[in-house]
Amino acid sequence: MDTVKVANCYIGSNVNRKEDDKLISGKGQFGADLAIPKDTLHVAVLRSDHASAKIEKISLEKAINLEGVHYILTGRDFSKLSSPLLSVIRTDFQSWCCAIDEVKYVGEPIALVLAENRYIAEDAIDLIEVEYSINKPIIDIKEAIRTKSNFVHTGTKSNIVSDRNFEYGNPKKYFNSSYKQVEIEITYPRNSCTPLEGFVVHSHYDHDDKIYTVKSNFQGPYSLHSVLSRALKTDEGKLRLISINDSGGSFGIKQAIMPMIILTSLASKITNKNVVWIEDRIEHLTAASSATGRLTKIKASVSNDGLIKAIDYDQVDDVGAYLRAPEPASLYRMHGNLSGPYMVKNISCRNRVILTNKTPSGLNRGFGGPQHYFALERLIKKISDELKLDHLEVINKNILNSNQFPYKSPAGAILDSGNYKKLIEKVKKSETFKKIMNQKKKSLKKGMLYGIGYSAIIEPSISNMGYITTALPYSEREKAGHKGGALASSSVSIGPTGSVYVSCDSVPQGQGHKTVISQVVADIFSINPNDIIVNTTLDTQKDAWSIAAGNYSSRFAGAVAGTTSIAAKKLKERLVKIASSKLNCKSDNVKFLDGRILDKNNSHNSISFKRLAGISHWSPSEIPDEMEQGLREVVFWSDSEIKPPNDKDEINGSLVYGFVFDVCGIEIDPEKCSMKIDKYITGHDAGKILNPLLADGQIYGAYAHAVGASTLEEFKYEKDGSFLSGSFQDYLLPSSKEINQPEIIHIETPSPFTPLGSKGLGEGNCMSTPVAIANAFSDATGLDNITLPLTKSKIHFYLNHKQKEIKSKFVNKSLHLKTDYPISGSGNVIINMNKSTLWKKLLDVKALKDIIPGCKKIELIKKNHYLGIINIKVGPIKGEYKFIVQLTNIKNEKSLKLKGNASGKLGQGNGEGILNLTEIDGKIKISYSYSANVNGKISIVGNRLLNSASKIIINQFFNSFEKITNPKKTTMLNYIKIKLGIINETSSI
Amino acid sequence: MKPPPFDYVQPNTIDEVLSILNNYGDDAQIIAGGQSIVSMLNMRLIKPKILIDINFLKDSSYIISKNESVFIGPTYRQLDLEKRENTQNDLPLLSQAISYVGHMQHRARGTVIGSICHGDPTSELPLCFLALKGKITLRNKFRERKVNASEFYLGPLITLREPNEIATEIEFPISQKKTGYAFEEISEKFGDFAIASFAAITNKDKIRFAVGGVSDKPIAIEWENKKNINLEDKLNEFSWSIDIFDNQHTSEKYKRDLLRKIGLKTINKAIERCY
Repeated sequence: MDTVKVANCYIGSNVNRKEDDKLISGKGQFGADLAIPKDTLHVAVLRSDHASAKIEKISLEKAINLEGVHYILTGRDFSKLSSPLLSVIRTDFQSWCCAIDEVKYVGEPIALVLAENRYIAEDAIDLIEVEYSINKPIIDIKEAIRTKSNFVHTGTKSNIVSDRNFEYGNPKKYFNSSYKQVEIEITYPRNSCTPLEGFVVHSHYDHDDKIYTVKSNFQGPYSLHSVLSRALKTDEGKLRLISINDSGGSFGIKQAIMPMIILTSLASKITNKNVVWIEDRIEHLTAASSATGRLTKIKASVSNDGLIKAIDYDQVDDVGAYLRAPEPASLYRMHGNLSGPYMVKNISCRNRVILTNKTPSGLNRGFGGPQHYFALERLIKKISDELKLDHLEVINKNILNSNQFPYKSPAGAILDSGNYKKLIEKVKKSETFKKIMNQKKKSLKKGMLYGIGYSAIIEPSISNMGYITTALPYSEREKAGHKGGALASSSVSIGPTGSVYVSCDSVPQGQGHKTVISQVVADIFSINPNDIIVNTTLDTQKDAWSIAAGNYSSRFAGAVAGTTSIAAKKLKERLVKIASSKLNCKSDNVKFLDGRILDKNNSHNSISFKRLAGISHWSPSEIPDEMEQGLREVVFWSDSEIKPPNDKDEINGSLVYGFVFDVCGIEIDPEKCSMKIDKYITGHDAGKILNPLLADGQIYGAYAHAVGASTLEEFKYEKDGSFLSGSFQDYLLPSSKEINQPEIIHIETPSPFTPLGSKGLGEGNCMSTPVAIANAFSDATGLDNITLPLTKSKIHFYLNHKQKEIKSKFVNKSLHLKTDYPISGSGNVIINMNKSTLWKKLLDVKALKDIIPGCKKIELIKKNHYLGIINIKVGPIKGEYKFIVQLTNIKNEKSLKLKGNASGKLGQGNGEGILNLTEIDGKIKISYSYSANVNGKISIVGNRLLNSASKIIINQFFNSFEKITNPKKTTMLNYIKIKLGIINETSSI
Repeated sequence: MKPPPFDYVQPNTIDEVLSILNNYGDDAQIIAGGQSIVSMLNMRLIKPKILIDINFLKDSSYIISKNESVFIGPTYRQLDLEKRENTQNDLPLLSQAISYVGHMQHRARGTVIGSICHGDPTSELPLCFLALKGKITLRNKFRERKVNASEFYLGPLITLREPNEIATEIEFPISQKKTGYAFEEISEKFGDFAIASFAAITNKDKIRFAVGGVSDKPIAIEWENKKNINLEDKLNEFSWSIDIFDNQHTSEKYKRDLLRKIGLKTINKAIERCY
């Protein structure tokens, strides 16, 4: 570890990460690297292809008979041994981890195959046949609220699981006044932070001890331990959770491993074997979890000089198909600080939590913050636009002054410390700021658009475990028992030859906790950080833990590092006592210096740290009588500032609050419709910085995630509920080429509430950056209604949607009618055949078998209903599909409609088409149009080629029709092409 | 994401490959660089009975310049083409396009012929192949044929190659004097699939223009390079005459607009270079 100490302290110094040598040389021990005992069964999960469907039948016979397959377990097998998952809000439907009879989102587990290895398990998945009856899913947030008949869960009467109104101060007074009212509606898309490593669970059930032992990359919060043990119908102590040493990242999402801990644990109990599940990327993107999507209508009542008098929120959170604990925390984490960094005193808020047929939401870096500040900071920008004020002026007008701290916000947050205006001034003084301000003119001259965006947010850290209960009315909270506070724990001990051991409850996911803990403890004992052994794995049977344990809400720097410092200081007090007796000097004169303990008044009177620590082990009889034996301190710490929500629904959701102020300049190329972040400054006031190197690393990381969320990343669903982002081909992540390096500016206003004065800072940019970019985009384009991510095609839409496209002089292309179907097309063929012969062929089963390419079998099952088997081949991708087609609206020799569906291993599709026959110059022109949707694997991972592939398949049919009936073909399209001179390959260069 | 079971062979000679292809037909899958095939296998989009790994073929990783053409063998890597000194002189279009093919790591394994045979409509090499009027040699157990690029592509991942054939060689004509070559690509992010890619080859008589990414295959068009040629108009008509497919990321309208605007820039760049 290279270190340059600042002011003779490791804290505050750029100490290099202790963890890295191992990780960058490929020696990390991740979840999937753990030794897998012999006879372990490997899990593959059969998942739903549909967003909403009834499971009519699951045929397991072929799969179970495959060699190497041991068990296949379905929802019913699990439900016999377990209970549904509980959440804070009671719902009138049950939340199981594995579907029973009905599926509610694409990717929902239907069965677990347990086999000798993952390959065989996946082979077995391919052999399982599931028959569904498909329902119309709920995908759109507004539709979920509006519908009176279509509910995600059968037997329920609404998709809204929670609807609460809050009022602080007197907002009505200002909204019914002559003040200026400014309003904006925003939607925030679903996305996630996609860690390198997916979920891993190793489960073992001991039938003798009746103990479930689970090694997994679950990251907490350990309040979910209670949810898990209750679902497993076991005592808390019989569920032993063990964390894994190294982590390939989480950013919150590994909380969502919870259902799979339950399923694998039950599988181990049923099979009496070790069970392991290693998630793959398709599973992760499809079904792990997601940040909530949000729809917010936000309005402000503002005086003409830009002072905000009141804010009203109407927020709707899309949590997906189930309300999984800790949701609806996404809505309530920010509740106390609804007023952001501003002085506004009057706030009203309506919070609705709704269900849709999507993957259940959960923790994700920024948790609730990106959604919240996107609304608030877009509103501030709109206020400045409508009042024709400078955006920064409006921020400055409303922002809290440094003499107001600690500041109690209207909704209950106690903002501990900060000097917001000082940070803004420091950012404004930077050279980069001046460059941003000067760039606009230069860019416009080049024909580019340039926009400047700001955002000012407060970043909460160290969650109050009780904030989630704000979702319940006071009376229910009273009944259930109030909850508030958050314990952090840490143990520091010293061994017989002076090694210092630290264990703590932070369950790091790659942030470098070992490094920082070493710095904290090294300073207290005045020893080298390299001599400190930090073990951050957590074992619920062995370690000190409580429900707040885990890696979330940026709790490490403030709570865990702070708690460790308390424990180390307590241990130091003991060493001082032993030293004072050994050196025969007053306690006050004992000094720790570079691995030695000495008498301040006589530095020759000293003893080494190791020797001193050894006394307690080798000669406990020498320990002063008044002292307890042993050198170990276990400290639990919570600050009294975080209390349960009170009867006025005021809630201090987090213990401490940092401040982030961002400025960015973006340049848009109106031809390419590409956007470049020209320059970005991010200012942070996060209290005492423990390690600037790691702090900046966290900021860069959050910034990178935020650039992804702003420009590329979105979990997309079709209207029919099919999922479109199942691989990195379609869920697009930015690379170092797309992410510029932001300039980071710090000020440090220590928190009075944490032991070290530190606060979290790893999530702030996920909250501040997306809206700063959107504000810059709005500044550049003058547009209001901006939804992320700003992909190129979306930018094209924003820049061009009001302009008419240049048409063709020759081609009168009927643009595809947008239907509910995502795939559609149309075309013509000209066939040289007698009309009635052609018509007969179209309706003749035998003729059709020859005409339809790849048709293996076709039969008439009843009048105008056909059933058959077809091989479809698109390049190397081929598959066999069963199809059913029904002909309707038959007008003899004129037209007909087709409707049908096909299903095979790669997916299922529904579609309809129309054929029209007309006579031109004695030939028959068939005009056709079709529309279809496709679900299943091909949609999840192969979506990008679906549209053109569908066209090809349909063309194959007509080409084959032509080939059989009319060897010399002239298609309409070719005719046009020849006319235009497009088909002209004879000339050459 | 584990592949289904398959047999795996490492033939040393083309004859071995041909006899396996002849036996298995479209149940066989040839793998060279594996940059598309391996992920398709793992996603179980393809389930070949046998995987023919041609990386062990003798003398197949060649590039030869002969009679105004460059000939490339079946295992010649994209990165080798990129790093080859003469590429910018004799294959200036490919020299511009090659860095857009995935990321460097993909190009280190991916082969030139592999990409051309895979026929992804968003790929750069098929577009160049078409723009340059290259030729591909296809061989089965009984015969060999040469196919023009203009006939080779039929649709997304669909080519004229029969299941029993292997592409043994690609031929690119080398650059001509007083001819300008230009390539442009718009993708959502660096190294990603093209939203639209453009190749233009111009001399004083002709403008040859090809577009990839927008349709189910690359498409080329030629115009006479007349003095009063209205390229805006030509490109607009071209954009309406072809089947442009939208997808979840990009609209048809955006693709047409790119064809009009970036297409024009590409052509103009080529025109500037032909003197």
